[in-house]
Amino acid sequence: MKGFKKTLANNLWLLRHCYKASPLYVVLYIVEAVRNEIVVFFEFTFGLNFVLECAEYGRPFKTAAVFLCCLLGFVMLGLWFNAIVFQKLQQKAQPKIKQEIKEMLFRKAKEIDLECYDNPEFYNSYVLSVSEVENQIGRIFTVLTNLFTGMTSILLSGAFFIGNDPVSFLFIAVSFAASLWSGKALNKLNFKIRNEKNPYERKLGYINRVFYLNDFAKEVRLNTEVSGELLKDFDETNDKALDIDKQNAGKRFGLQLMKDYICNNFLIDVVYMIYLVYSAAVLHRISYSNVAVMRGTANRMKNRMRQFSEVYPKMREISMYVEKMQNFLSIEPKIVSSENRRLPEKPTEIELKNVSFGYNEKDGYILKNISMKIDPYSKIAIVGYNGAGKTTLIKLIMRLYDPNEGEILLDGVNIKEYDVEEYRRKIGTVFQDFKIFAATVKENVLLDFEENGSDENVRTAIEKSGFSERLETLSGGLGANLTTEFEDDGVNLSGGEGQKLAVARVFYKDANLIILDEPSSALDPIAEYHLNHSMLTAAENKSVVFISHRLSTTRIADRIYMLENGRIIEEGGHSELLESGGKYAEMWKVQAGQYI
Amino acid sequence: MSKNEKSKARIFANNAYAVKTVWSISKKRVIHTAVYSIAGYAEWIFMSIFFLRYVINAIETEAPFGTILGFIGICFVVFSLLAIYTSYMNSVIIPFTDNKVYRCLYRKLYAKARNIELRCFEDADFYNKYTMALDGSAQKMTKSVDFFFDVIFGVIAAAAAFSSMFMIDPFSVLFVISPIIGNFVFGGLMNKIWGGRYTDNVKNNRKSEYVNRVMHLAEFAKEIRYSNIHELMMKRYDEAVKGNVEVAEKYAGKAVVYSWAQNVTTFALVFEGIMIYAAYRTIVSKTMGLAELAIMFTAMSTSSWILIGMFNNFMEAMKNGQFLEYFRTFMEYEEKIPEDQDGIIPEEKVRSIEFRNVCFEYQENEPVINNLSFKIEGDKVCALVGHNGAGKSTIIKLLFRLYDPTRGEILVNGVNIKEYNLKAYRKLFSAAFQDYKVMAMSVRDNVLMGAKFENPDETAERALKCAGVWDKVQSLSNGIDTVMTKEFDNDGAVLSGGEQQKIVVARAFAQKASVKVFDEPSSALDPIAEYDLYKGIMNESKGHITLFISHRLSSVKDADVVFILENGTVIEQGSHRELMAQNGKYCEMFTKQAQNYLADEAYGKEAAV
Repeated sequence: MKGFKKTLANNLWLLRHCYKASPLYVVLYIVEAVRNEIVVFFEFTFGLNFVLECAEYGRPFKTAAVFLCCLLGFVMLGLWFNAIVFQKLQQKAQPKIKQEIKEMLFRKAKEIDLECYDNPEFYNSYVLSVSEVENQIGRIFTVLTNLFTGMTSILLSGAFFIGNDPVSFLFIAVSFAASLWSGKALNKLNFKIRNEKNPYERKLGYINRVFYLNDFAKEVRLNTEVSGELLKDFDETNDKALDIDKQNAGKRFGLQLMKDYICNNFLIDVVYMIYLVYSAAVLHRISYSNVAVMRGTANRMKNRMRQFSEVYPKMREISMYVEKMQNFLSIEPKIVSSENRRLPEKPTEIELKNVSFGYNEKDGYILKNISMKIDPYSKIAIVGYNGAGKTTLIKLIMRLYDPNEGEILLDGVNIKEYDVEEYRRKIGTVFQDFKIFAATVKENVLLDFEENGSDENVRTAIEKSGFSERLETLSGGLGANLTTEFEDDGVNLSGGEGQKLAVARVFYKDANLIILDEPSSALDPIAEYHLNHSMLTAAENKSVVFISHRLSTTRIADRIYMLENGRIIEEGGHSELLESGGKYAEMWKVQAGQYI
Repeated sequence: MSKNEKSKARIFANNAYAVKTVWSISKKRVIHTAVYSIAGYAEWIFMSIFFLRYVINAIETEAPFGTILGFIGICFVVFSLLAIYTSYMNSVIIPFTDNKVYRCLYRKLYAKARNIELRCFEDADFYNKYTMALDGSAQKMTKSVDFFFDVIFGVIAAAAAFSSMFMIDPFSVLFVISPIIGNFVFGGLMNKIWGGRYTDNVKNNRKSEYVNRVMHLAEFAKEIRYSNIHELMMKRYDEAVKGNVEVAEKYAGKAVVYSWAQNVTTFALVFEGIMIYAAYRTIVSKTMGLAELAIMFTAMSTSSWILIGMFNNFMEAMKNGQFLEYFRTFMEYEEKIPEDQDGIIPEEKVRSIEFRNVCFEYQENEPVINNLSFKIEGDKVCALVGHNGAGKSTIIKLLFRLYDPTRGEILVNGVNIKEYNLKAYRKLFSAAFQDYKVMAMSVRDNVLMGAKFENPDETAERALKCAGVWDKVQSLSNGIDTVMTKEFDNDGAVLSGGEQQKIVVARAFAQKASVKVFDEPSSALDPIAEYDLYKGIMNESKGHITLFISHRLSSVKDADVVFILENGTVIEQGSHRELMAQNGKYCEMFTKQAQNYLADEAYGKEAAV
């Protein structure tokens, strides 16, 4: 009962949102479902019966003709209504309804902590609920149709049978129940087969991708034997999938026969028919013209009952997805601020005190007991091997995560006390995996509406990042569309160009702290050299934290932190570290040595 | 108009092509589909027209109950057999034959995909068509077979239904005109509207799909938190929805009229019309029996539904035929560099590689390689250096004959590479590509890539050691047998970018090729790993030509020859020492890069003193 209540509540939740986006459509959709069923009944059961009776009892032709003409008029009017609902209202309402629900999810996606994305369970359920929005909206309208046509049909046809021959109910009910049962069993079997086949399907999908994705095309061509291996795999996988079908073939056949024939055609066309013929020919209880009408009506009523019986399972399925959506929507971000303190206007000292952090318990801490100080206006470099925890460290400073232990202070105050949005606004950054969006150049620098920034400032930022040369070649200038995502004449930037544009974002932003994660990785040496220089001049009155593999870049830092396995193993100025002859010195020698 | 007709004819032909293709793979599937289709229609018409007609006639003429029972009994036996057949078809024949058909079709597609040149993958137009060809093409082929027979036997079934009505009353057949107009005229117009809506919405939908992607892919999550891009994306989404609504408005007027007309002519006019007509015949002129009156109505509705089904099948077949067009053009595409091209079998040893005035462009008038000439002789270590976009990777692609030059020629051992047997030619090379791709196979298979070795395990181990990733591989749950990626093994290993790159580099080490190519093999590595890797490459450079691309000048210092590329041509070449002495571009680049290190080295020494 509790399950039923929840299912109902979840379905109503979804329906309410549909209604909110397009109330008229939802109401008229239901009216149309009822209307259509009433018309069908009046045409195929009542109407046919009426005309046959007219003939059988010799009523005047005029009665039948007037009745039929009225019926035709009503049907034509009804079809006009049908066309309005489906060809006009539905077309307009569908995208709006989808938008209503998706925007809700998107808004939440922006709000939640980045941590959620690292949790595959959460992430998959988010992706699933977004991708299922359309299907579930479609499904809830099917539910409405099934529910309302089902109810209308059962009421009308039920009244008809009670008036004519209540025993017919029995046949309909048996046929309905039996086909429901066998259908369920068949679905279960098919589901089982699908599940068993799933790993093989995945494998086939993968092989498919290897052959058709550009990513693998070069490898497949150069390593001439690898396709043979894949094809061998392809055959074996297909054999295994076939085996599953073979194993289940007998049972499937039996259930299919049960469902398609025994429970349906056999019961209605043979058993029920014999009963009808017996009632008409032997008992003379029903008129023989009624035989045709009753058989047709019985078939239709049974179908509607089947549709009606699908309402609840469908609602349960909807409920399952709605629950996922609601779970997602109910996530409260943990990275919030209690005080919403204002930030200092100028760069101030940032201090990490014994900070430890891990993404999850299983993998343990990525960062262990980190303490460091970023003086205002200083340039801090973080170096270390791949996997040492450099990127994680800056994510903590950016408050994309909160430390498990220890605290991060800005101007002597825990950063948790500052307003989160403002805190982030005061940090300018280029991520290692920066993104160029399908928008204009200007929008890509602002990452905001065009109105919210002046062309002049954008141009200055672009100048500083070294992108202005490329900008001049773009015919649209700042308004040029980037990526061919949805503008066919959009411009696709190369990795290096994109990076320069991403760097311009930092220059544009009025930040106190600049964080750069491998800002020069996609650039060639000369471009790297220019970028480093312009970055330093641009960041004169800001604090800078940057990560780089290239020690030629890091040596200009005021202070260098060397990370290994999540700990700071060395810190100090460049020459200081060289003198101490530790890991940093070793790394330096490897790189610099090649230039001597 | 004639072009339109022609393409229509082609679409028909495509369906026939599909039937022929499936026939060549599984005759069983085609024959059974035909029988299944006939059986379905036969049962439908028999049950809704003849069966009912007989029964009602029999009751009307007061035939003995036993006779009617006997008739129903016979029908029962016949239809039970048919039902057994259909169930068998659905649960046994279709799944079994589908497996065979799909397998053969995909193998054909893969063979073709394997055989076309790389350009096809990089040409967006071709590629889009190609993905469409692959996307569910096998399922579409078998669907085509279904439609083919459903349309053919649908016509026969419709004819049978009409003639049964004709037998009851010749004039009633005239009512059939109405649903024919409904389906073929108004149905056709409606289809055009659906097509128009779809085309007009393409751009809007691309927009909303993009927003969708940005909003749910993890890779955008950080940027969303650090900017106002969320609002911008929401605005885009709103624009897309507004666009959708506009499209809906644009077509609403016509769509309402056509769809109404279609429904009225297919259903209302026919049913009500035939009832009035039949009632007239029964009541007024008394030329029709009551049973006939009842049957007339079911017969009419059956005919209508068969027509509707036929029309829908026909439209689906047309749509399918359009998709099959992609499949067909893909399969019939003539390769410019067929991967199975035969020719001279090259010597196993590459003694020389020469580029002679080679020009190349991906797109017309945008030359990437410009009159490029250079020669490599003997087992040397060569480095290609240059800015982003100088054409380094393209040279490798040309050398591997993934592309052919627009002008000029490439010679290996003095022979134009176009004359070699392509597969044998490719075997001369092994490569670690810049866009390192690890496949969902074991580490060993990822290194060996299907090539045969005497000691596969040892070879793989050695290569992994050279690439500096052996320790990591050993730490994996199944060592060298660990499957990479979680693609289809939940226990699969997901390695970091650097580790993946090293595994890809190990590929090049493992192969017994005469020329080994490393395209920016250290882009994802940290300095020490980078240093170790280049040391490894140098150590392994005996007995074959080594060619690597790098923009880290420090790593090319030990190369025998360095080629400096600019704007698709070699501007300087020589050893590090020679190039430094030339005091050209290389010298400038090197000095700039070294500056940062050297200045400090001096500073360090000073401090030490």
